[in-house]
Amino acid sequence: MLSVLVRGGYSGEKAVSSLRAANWAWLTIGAALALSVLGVYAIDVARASEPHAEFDLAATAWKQVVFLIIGMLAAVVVSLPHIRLVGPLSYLGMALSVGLLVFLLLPGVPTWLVTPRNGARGWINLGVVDLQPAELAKIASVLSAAWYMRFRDSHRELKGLIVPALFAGAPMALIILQPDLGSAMLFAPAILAMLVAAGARLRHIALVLGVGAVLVPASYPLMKEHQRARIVALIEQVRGDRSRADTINFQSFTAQTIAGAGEWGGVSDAKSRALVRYNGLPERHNDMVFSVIVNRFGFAGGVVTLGLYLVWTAGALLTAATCRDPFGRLVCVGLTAFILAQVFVNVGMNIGILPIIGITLPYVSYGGSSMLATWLMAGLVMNVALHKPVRHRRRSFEYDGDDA
Amino acid sequence: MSILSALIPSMFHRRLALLAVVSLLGAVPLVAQLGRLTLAEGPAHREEAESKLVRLKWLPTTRGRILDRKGRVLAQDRASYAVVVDYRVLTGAWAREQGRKLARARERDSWGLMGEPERAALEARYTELAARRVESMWEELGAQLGRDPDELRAARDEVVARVERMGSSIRGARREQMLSEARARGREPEGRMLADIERRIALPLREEESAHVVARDVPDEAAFRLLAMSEQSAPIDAWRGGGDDADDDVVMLDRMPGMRVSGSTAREYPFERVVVDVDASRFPGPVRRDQTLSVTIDGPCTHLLGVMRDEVFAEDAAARRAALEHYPALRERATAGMDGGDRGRYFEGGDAVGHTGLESSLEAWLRGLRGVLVRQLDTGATRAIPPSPGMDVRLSIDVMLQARVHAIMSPEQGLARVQEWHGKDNSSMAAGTPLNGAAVVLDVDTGDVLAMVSTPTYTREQLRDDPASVFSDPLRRPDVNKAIAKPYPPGSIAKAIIAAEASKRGVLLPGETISCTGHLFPNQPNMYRCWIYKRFGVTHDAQLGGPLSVAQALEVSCNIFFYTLGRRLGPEGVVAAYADFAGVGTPWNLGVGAEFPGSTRPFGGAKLEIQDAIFMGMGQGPVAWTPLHAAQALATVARYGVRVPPRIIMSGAIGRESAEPTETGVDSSVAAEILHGLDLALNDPMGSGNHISYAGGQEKIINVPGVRAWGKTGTAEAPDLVHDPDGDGPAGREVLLEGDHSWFVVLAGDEGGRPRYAVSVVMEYAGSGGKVSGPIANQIVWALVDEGYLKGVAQAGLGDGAGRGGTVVAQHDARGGR
Repeated sequence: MLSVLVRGGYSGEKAVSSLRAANWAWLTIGAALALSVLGVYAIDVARASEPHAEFDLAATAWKQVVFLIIGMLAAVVVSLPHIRLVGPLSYLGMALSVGLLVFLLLPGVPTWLVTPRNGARGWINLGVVDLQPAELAKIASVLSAAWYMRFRDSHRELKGLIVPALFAGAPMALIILQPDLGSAMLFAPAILAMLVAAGARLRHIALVLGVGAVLVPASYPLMKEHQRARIVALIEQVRGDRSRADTINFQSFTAQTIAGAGEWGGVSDAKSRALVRYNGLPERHNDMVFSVIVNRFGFAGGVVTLGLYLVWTAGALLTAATCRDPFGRLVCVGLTAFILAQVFVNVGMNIGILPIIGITLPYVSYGGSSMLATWLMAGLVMNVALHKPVRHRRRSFEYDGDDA
Repeated sequence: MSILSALIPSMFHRRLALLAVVSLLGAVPLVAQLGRLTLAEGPAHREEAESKLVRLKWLPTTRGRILDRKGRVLAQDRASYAVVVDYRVLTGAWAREQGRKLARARERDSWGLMGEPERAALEARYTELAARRVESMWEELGAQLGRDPDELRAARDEVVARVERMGSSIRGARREQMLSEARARGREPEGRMLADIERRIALPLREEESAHVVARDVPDEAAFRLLAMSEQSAPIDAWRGGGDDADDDVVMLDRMPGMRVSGSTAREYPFERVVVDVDASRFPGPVRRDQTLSVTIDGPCTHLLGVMRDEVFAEDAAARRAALEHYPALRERATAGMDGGDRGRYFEGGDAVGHTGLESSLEAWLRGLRGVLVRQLDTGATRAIPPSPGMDVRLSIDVMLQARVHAIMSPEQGLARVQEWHGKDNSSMAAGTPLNGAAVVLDVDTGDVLAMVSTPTYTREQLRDDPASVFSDPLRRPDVNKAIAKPYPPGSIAKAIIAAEASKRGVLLPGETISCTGHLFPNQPNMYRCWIYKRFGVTHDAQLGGPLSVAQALEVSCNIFFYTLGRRLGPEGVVAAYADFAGVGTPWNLGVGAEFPGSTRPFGGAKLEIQDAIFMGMGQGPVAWTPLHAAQALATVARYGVRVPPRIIMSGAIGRESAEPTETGVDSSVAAEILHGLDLALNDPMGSGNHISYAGGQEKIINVPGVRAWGKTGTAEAPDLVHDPDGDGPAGREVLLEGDHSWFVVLAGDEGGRPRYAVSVVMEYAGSGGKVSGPIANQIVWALVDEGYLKGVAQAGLGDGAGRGGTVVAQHDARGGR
């Protein structure tokens, strides 16, 4: 049975020997593991003010270890079944995700089940852990868009972009309603990257980006008061206006101070714990964990961390490049875009060039849903890399004429 | 494109490459900003982050004392507590804030589902609960302090009103400034820019974020109880909307929101009220009584000591920085063990600052240095620097002599009232009208100011309860220290220094005599006349049988003699006379507040002409000085031409030592001749300051047995005292007083000795110098005997020297801040 699952229903070879054990996805897995371990350490630094003391605070780090193990197991599970079997489940996954996102918004849902956090209805209380359907929706969105586009060329037309866009647009709209504008925004780069990879005309993509560049500022008057305040605060902060350093910009300025204090090579373990604690950095084990890493390991540590994400990206893109299966190719590209977008936004808000929105740093920030989702992504990249195409396919996403 | 296509034949791979490049490019700004934060700004961020690892706890200290020359305490700190409350609590902003916070926190689960009106209603309910907590705090405070809660609420309203007034004036000024700056940059502010300006000026002022005193002089027991309460919190009366789970944890609010007990100190002034005995049997005949009067003097030193305030202004911090910069010894003391931090820095809310007088000018020395507990949070290491009290400063003033002079000059005793014997010179005031003036007693050898009195004075209580009585009295001007801050024409008392300068410059030769011709110019009998010619139609030549020597001229105060010297000296010479001998034109920097440095410039800045110089030769014309200048002029002559700068701050203010004595270059024989003239003026029956006459007798003006005196009278023509409330010139002006100022200066020493003390007295618009100020100066000489400065003939039972008959009562007007 397992053998059938792995081989995708084709006989002839043994399950294990049908896999390409040596593949580029190990880069992705290695980077994810390194980042996860770094994350556990950073969370411990953020939560425990003294090394090896105050056991209850380090408990957060231990929980993260558990999430890591669960995430890696989940990655193993999704990496094994042949991609041919994963693909058809895409639409089902999408339907399920959208269903959960709708469920979050239903008026009658009791608050013990859906507890608003920071005013957003984004989590379902499963007792032991809280589930964030948006994380699963990311994966479902990539899988179903890839499944939809794998044999088509309709996206070479402008109006052909509409259906793929819906795979991102539907969850986006539902997430915006939670409201969690930050998470919703990440869907856009993912679908755009997939369209680029799938051969959509670059002038169409440019047009879409252009319209977006006009529409996003135009949406300012439609924003809620607190969202506007964040943006105004960001502008002040970038200008160096410290007038709100104790109020709305406190988190951002503190994160910058903590990060900047790392200077070139960081500070000692004990010093870092003290600095992080007594400067009162909010969300230091969570959204602001990158600042903690830079504080501990300095500029060098920050660059290495960013480098690990680029290694992750390299692994995933090389997997896509060496994969002949169109579905697998697009899945790798979409997942990469999700991870990178999330990294850029999170790091940007840590170092004061983007507004503070609740976006976690993949593999590093504390949190079960995030850990599970990102390891599932790594597992899917590995899945694409492991399995040979089931039959000789025609070349996908190669079109005559220029790239534009 | 073709090269790329050739290089990467697969379009998909080209697209992957594109995505990879975009990813790398996306990382560039992140790395750049990361580099900026950690490498360029890293050290600053590290410093800021590390500053949070240190907690400072400040310990109270006390302000230095101000002592008089005999070590009597004029001002000192008494430990006391004050209750301060955060401004946001006072205005109700705290309650609204808590209302919003509580509503959100308590209704966290359903908040997202609520509509605006529902939320607003919830917030209002919680705000109400928080406001109720504040109200109960006022009740509790009232109970603890034994005061009416409404009194505390009134204090609250006063603070809020004051801060609001301050806020609107500061904001208005800031707005104007920003608008004009914007316009200066050539942009008419509008729209966004205008909104930005509004936002900036709306930023809270420090006063709007700090705590303010609502009750001071809190007794220790109450302070300790309140201190404990300030740490407590208590549950609010829980009210929940739509509550399904009632066992939600109880919401706690501070029991005394925003209240702190500040361990402050109160400034107390033990000599705020002094009772002195005045022997009325020494008074001139008409007011002589055979009794000793007990005279109560309130605020004898207010002009000198000044007052304190509780509010810290931005200027205070700037002044302190400047002082520490200027006096390295002060800086070293203030920053010892603090890595350059200043332990005397100002704290918002309940910090006492010297506002006027010596309290203000000696602020940097008097201010105590707080103790500090420095705790390193990460290591737990602590280090303590104990508080250091401010420096004690000793004054040259003798507070009992000061009080005596006040007593002599208080109208109730009779000398400072219009009297019959003052004569007809004084037509503008009826008999019995109180007279105001000033007096200075200077130690000739040291320049020490032993007493500096300006009447009327005022008290701290008066300043607090009825400031208008101090500041809005154009006739009496209690707020002005007339001894150093009000210009007076010198009149004839300047004649001694004119003679000295003329001799020095060789325009008056030794033994030279000058004729009194009645009027200076033979053909102009109505100009530059001698007083004797004006009144009696005769000349001093006729009276004395020949031309006058300088001593004779001083004795009879001949105008023609000194007109002549003025003409010979010319403008430059007379200006030099006033500058060299009296210090006219240079501030003293005594530290007791505003000073008029004296002036020898015509009104409106015109050039001095020879006619001016002639007038200035006898102390009139474009010249004005103060009683301190008058005393200093005489003292310089008494020192045979040596200038010693007067001082009030005697010791303790390190780095503020006064200047060294300097020579004026007057020949000692000339000085002796001038002193001889001043001796004749008081002691020869023909002298202008020899005696006063009244119905039923005449008596010597300076008549203290055992004391030798030299002196001079002056009756100085003065501009009318006009009150011009709207300040628009002649229309609506009212002449309050007119006439001459009455001057008397006297040098006093022991019988057979040299001059030891210089006394100057001016009585405003009081007429004849000898008749009005003379008897007052005489009583001041008596006071010098009573306080032990002159021997007198104490043994004869007239006085036994130091400390005779002075008592201090009612010492505690100690509302530190005023």
